[in-house]
Amino acid sequence: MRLRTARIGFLFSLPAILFFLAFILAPVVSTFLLSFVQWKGFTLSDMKPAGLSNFIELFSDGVFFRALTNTLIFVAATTVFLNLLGFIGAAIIDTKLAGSGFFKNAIFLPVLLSPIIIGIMWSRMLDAFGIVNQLLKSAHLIKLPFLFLGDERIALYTVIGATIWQYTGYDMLLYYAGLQGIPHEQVEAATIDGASRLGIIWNVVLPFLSPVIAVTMLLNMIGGFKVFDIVYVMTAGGPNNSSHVFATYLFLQAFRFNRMGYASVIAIVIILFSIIAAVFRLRIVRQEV
Amino acid sequence: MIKKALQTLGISLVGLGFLVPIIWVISLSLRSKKTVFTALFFTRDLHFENYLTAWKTFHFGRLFLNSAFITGVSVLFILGISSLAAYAFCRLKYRGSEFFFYLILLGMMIPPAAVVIPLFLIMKNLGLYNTHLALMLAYVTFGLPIAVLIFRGFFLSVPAELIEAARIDGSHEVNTFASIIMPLSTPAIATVVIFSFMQNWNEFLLALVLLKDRLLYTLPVGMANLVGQWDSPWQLIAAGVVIASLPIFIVYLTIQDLYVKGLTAGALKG
Repeated sequence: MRLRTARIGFLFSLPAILFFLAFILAPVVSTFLLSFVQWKGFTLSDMKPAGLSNFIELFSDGVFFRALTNTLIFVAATTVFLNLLGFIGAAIIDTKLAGSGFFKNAIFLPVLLSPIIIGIMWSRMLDAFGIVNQLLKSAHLIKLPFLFLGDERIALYTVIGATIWQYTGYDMLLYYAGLQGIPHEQVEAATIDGASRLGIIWNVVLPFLSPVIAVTMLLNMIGGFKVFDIVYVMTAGGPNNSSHVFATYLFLQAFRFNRMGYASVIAIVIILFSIIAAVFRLRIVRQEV
Repeated sequence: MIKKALQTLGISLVGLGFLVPIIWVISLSLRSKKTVFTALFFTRDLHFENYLTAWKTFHFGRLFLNSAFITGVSVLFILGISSLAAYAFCRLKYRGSEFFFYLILLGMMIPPAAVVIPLFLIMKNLGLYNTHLALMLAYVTFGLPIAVLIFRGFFLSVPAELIEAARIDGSHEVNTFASIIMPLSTPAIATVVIFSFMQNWNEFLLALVLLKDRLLYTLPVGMANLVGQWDSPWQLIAAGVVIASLPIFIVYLTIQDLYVKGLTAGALKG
């Protein structure tokens, strides 16, 4: 009987295991192998061993380091602002005032849309003929249109802004779910004791929310490290390679320049960052499972 | 009283302000070719025919069909495969099942970008490059980990006595799973459906890499392909943006609470 259930159990889980082996484990292993070759990816006979040259090139590749710092800036900026704005939004809905239902839906709406659509919208809105430049011009703040996506110093931050706009509603809902579990007696007791509103948030609400804060920040960071869509559609890494992140630079090397070996080294960097995130994530998941 | 009214007004205005980009895009979609770059918001005459033109010129029918087909099939397979695996991992344990469970969870940590190169090469060698099947295989793979986690969490809350009783009654394990456990699991099924639907409907990188023919494109790839030229017909692209967003928005409005629960539960579990 035990043996039979064990066998059925194995058969039940077999499809999932096979998918994992074929399309995650095999690719991860291949990535490590590919990082030691030079290959355009067309026929196997083109493949040339490259030793460590791909890794050496990475360390002297200015664009890669730009992509690295850009990714870190993207992760840090989106995580900080999403959590801050998400918490404020959640606190606003939690007042349960008339109008908070509309507020919730309005802030959440962009979460539903695909980053591609957000990217198209914002690019058009911020371009030379978009509403932002129209308004700036009619307020006589600028004479020539300001190129939000055409300026090397600004482009990345413009994309970050659009990303924050899109996902604030997501963090807001996570925090709102967290706020529902706050013990009201404690808040009331603190109020009777004459604690200020900020004092209550700082001393009662935030400590209680700390698991939610940890999960939300981690989710934002993981999302940030793998960002591709919105950067690709808004700047494609430009102008002049100034706004690349890991994934867009990998895409450029692999599928525009056909440098599968070199791009695989970038993939390894992504995997390393993912493993670091995984260690933190597993801790939280373990607590919940 | 007045304070409350002012607060309501305040948060409504903030909400409305947040929606300005969307309202602006709607205004853009209703302009004529002449006013598309000059008007600020809505023009006096609204060109609703843009929507029909956009639908035809950009082959939205095809894009929707492709996305719906790929997402639908992927979600079905994710449901089937992940529920079976999750059930095995908590109720039909075998030597090594714990190991396989954590192995599959590991898949959650690997972002598609990290393995997109070998996936592209594997699909090419299997002769699946530029087919919907390639995309569906990838989507099922990346959808499994979180779905397994959600189902496992739910199955653990189903009393073990129920399964034990079915066993004593002589019910086959497959039968127990299919006709006792799964019908009980509608909350978990809903969560998995919503979460994987969102994930696949909006997925971009894999679709961009694995598909080449315009006829096979999904919505996001088709949309991304529209922009980029200075002379792009923006009133039509804006109409396209609205068309592409509408279905997901309608789904959200009809099953709002379920939707939010699915999205946040999926996230918090993962």
